[in-house]
Amino acid sequence: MDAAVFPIRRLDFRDLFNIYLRSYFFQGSFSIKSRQNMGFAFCLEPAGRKLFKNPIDRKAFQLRHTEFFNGNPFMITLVLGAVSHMEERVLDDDGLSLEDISRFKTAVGKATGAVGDRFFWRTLRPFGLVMGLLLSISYDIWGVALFLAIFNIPTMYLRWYWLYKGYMLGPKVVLELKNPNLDRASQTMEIFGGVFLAFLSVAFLSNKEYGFSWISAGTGGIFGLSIILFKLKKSHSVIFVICTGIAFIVSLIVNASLR
Amino acid sequence: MEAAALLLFVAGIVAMDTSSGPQCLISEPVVSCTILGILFGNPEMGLKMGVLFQLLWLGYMPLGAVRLTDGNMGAFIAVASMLSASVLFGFGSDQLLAAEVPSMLYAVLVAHIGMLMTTGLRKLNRIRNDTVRAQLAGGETVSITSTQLKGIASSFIRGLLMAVFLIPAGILLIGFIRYIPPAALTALVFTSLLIWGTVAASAMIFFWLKGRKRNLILGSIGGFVWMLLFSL
Repeated sequence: MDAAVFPIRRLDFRDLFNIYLRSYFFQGSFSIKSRQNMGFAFCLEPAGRKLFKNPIDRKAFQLRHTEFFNGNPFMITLVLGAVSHMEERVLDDDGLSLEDISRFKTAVGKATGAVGDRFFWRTLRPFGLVMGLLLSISYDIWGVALFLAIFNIPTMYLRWYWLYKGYMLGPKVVLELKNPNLDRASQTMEIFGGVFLAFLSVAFLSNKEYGFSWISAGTGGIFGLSIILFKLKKSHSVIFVICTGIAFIVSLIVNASLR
Repeated sequence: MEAAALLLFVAGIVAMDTSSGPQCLISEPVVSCTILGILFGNPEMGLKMGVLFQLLWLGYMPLGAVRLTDGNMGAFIAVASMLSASVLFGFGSDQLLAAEVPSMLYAVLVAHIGMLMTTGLRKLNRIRNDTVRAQLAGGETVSITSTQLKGIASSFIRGLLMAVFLIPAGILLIGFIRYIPPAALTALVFTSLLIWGTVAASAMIFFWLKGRKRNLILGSIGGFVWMLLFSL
């Protein structure tokens, strides 16, 4: 990295890349009580090794980063980068304190949870799935490859981008959370995801192989019943078991009457 | 023997990817079941079962500390059991279709067991994390990396244990399909078709909840038009 565009000097590309790779296992020691505290300290280890040569300082660094932490695993690099930057500034006595770091972690961790969960889990994942399913109609398992590509390529890029931005900008990186491109991408994917999923469902459920047989009518009936049960906020597993039971009884009756 | 070892290894990876990392979604049913289909020489069946479970549990996301049934492991163990039973007992095409129904029900059961095991694992992590923090506070030297690696390894072992105990149990359970009378077998084949109604509804409700009904209506109209055009 060019020193001219990278004014903070202590962590080099290798350290940042190490943090990046570790961020993939951020949730390894997830616990209900302290959430991803150990994961946060684990990811930040390369920075700790570089910044604190004295064992006592290093232990203090480890202790303060094993405090409670909760954030989105895909956006965590943003916090990791910014905290590395802030730790350097604390070392340089550059207007930041350890309390600032702690407050920043708590506030931005929560914010990454809200933004990241919406973008990655509620939007990108279902969008990738629907696109993958569309492709798998004609190209079978290539649809699965497309799903993995749609989810993982942007995720890999964004993880690195946020780590770099976080390290460059420090606490100012919070502005990245309000990036309008993320919002626009989410909205577009939600629209296309919904449209294509409904298209696939209707086209599949009214498959011409079944024609307008009792199977089509039965599938439609089970579909309607399931929607009602989902609206009643019943658990997926319970609905599935109930509908399977009903479908089996209906099949037995129809099968007997067709004989 | 190699196939069994490979199956156990993949089970460990699926469990790890679900909760510990790298969370690149190879644990999602549509991926893991397709891999199983390829391993057992029946990729179409693997993909079909994967799509089915994927849509059923589309709304289940590992957000924060939410306790969710482990659909990923449920789907993996159930499909591995079904395909193993098919190879071991030489299922015919009707028997394989009928086996989908008990496999799906077995997946629901396994998913609940997976949830309980995940809760247990998180408790174990809490004890380990608290110990490390206490040691650090006392000025002791501890390896954060090894603590984290133990957490990741625990997830892998969870998957491995589930596969060791629940795949053979699943094979036995699904193997009973051979003794079912022909009328019930036919009914099960029909059930395997009808249940797509619930699966599609589960996926639709996920997008519906987000307050975007307009998109669903538009897509549904498109689906009907497409179907009519192809029927003509």
